[in-house]
Amino acid sequence: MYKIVRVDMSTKKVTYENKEEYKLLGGRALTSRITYDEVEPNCEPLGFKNKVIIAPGLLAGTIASSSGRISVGGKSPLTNGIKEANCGGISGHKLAKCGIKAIIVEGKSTDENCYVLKIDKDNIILSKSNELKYLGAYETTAKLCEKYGDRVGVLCVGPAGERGLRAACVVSNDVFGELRFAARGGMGAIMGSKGLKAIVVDDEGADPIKYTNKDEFFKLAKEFNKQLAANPKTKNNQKYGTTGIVKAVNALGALPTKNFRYGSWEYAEELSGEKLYETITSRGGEGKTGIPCMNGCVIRCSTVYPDENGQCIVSTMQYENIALLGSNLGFDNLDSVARLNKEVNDLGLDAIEMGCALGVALDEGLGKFGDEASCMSLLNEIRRNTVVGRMLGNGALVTGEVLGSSRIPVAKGQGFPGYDPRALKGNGVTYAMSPMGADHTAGNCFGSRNEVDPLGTDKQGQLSKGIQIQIGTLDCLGLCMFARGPLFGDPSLLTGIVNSLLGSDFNEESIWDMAVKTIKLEREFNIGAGVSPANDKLPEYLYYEKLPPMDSVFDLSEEEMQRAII
Amino acid sequence: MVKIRVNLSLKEYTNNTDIEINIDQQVPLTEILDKLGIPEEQVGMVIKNGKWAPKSCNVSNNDTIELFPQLSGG
Repeated sequence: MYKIVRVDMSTKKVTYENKEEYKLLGGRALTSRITYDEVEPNCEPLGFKNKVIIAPGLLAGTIASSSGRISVGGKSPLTNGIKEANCGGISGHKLAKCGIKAIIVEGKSTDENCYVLKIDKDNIILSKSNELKYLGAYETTAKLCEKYGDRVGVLCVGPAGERGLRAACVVSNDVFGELRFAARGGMGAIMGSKGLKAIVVDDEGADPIKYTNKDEFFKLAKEFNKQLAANPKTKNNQKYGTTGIVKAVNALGALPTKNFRYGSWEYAEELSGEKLYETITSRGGEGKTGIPCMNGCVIRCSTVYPDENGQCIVSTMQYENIALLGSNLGFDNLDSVARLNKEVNDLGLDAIEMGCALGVALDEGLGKFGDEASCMSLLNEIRRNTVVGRMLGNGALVTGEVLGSSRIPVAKGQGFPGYDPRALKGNGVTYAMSPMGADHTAGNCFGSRNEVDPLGTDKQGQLSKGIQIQIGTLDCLGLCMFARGPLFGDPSLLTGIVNSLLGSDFNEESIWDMAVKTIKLEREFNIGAGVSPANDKLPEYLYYEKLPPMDSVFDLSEEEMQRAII
Repeated sequence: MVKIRVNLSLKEYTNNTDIEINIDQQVPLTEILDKLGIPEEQVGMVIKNGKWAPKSCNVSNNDTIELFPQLSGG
């Protein structure tokens, strides 16, 4: 029997429950459903009434590759609407093995203490850990692993989350003790606002996962793992991580450059996946490529980026981080990006949101593009919790509004990921129309379907809609979006895996309904929260300011945009 | 002369080098891929003369083609 854990941070009481109606919901479907069922849409995101919900996907704890992603959801302090962010790491599988379907953190601690929730197969205990207060994400994770054992899963917030900065994320440790980030939408700010610094998950001695039809599940999951390992995309992901796309996005003219003023960058080669691979392998030492973030993943797209002496600077350099903290801030080298990335990680901030906020700040004269000292100095303002730091840590919109910018790259209050919507218009549709706001993980049209011209004005709505549904389904199952190849190619493999685990009867059409129903709920919640269809738009400058080198503007018709509504 | 730049895993099919070929007349890109031994399904994105193009595009002398393998954004 699975458990839903409820942690009331006002009373410090932990209770358990089980709801039959949630049985076939996991990951984003569950975080959004609980938010919809329990959170008043018009509540204050960092107030007493909001909740943060943490849920592994339906396939968590199994041998299916890439299935241990953990979803974190609630009402976003950035978008003011519903939000789900998910990441890899080891806690998703561990929670599932402990029989935990979701953790609902509610209320708000009224004392100044710092709390840690410790979960194992028998007990869940909330205790004070004031020695962790305002510690960075790396030190917090290290201290908790020192205390509870280096095999435990840790989900924590950095100082940004504790201080309620809206760009704060929830941080998860991975197989190698490096960090992963449920980054988008300020979920770390909600968790921090409640006084909860971390959750520790120890699955030692937990019972094995129960399968409805174990033989069938193992047969299909092994077939899936085999196909995924052989998938053409996997080879590139394994070697270059997600950074393999830097040159491709640059070639499309969609690479954010100097606060989204340009769509290509003369130094893109220096920031490319090829350069990353060459640097890591030539420097050696602690540098690594092709490592997994969760047990059993056959894609293994993580990297450890070392300095010239072979010492780790940061793991893992992803495309988004390179685009937003690299070209968008005018950097021509990976070392600077890695050091900024490390600092953003340690503060417990979303690298995308911070790349957008810093881009706006540099554009408005608070520093110089391509100058690492300027950017580090601004990040240090966040560390010191100064007024400027609080402005930046509250994201691109707050930063742009305070500084009087007319070029703020956000949709529904959230910073753009690494694809300028003027040159990849399908992503502009997703940013504007998805309940998630400007979030590439809600429906990334890059590389998904080769038949739609990224600069064209038709087919973009339908393209975005289709991908939102497909990726949304993976979010509910806890699957990484890079695992999609074999499953979208043969949905019967997907339904077979899910049904043999859960005893459900999903077919090749109904399996997508878990995302459709979820997105509909999310949209309804947003309307109640005041995030009405009037917010389904992009910033005005994108409609008239031509983006070099394609000289394109965002020019889709309202009719085309509406086609993406689910 | 058609210049063809290949990226990432597609380099395996071209001995890690870019390619220049002469063609007599306009031909479909898929024909060139076939000639070079690059499996069509391995190609995810085509940039022709600096702009996105479908895999079904035609190629003429003096065109510059950049090929990327199948990739996912993330």
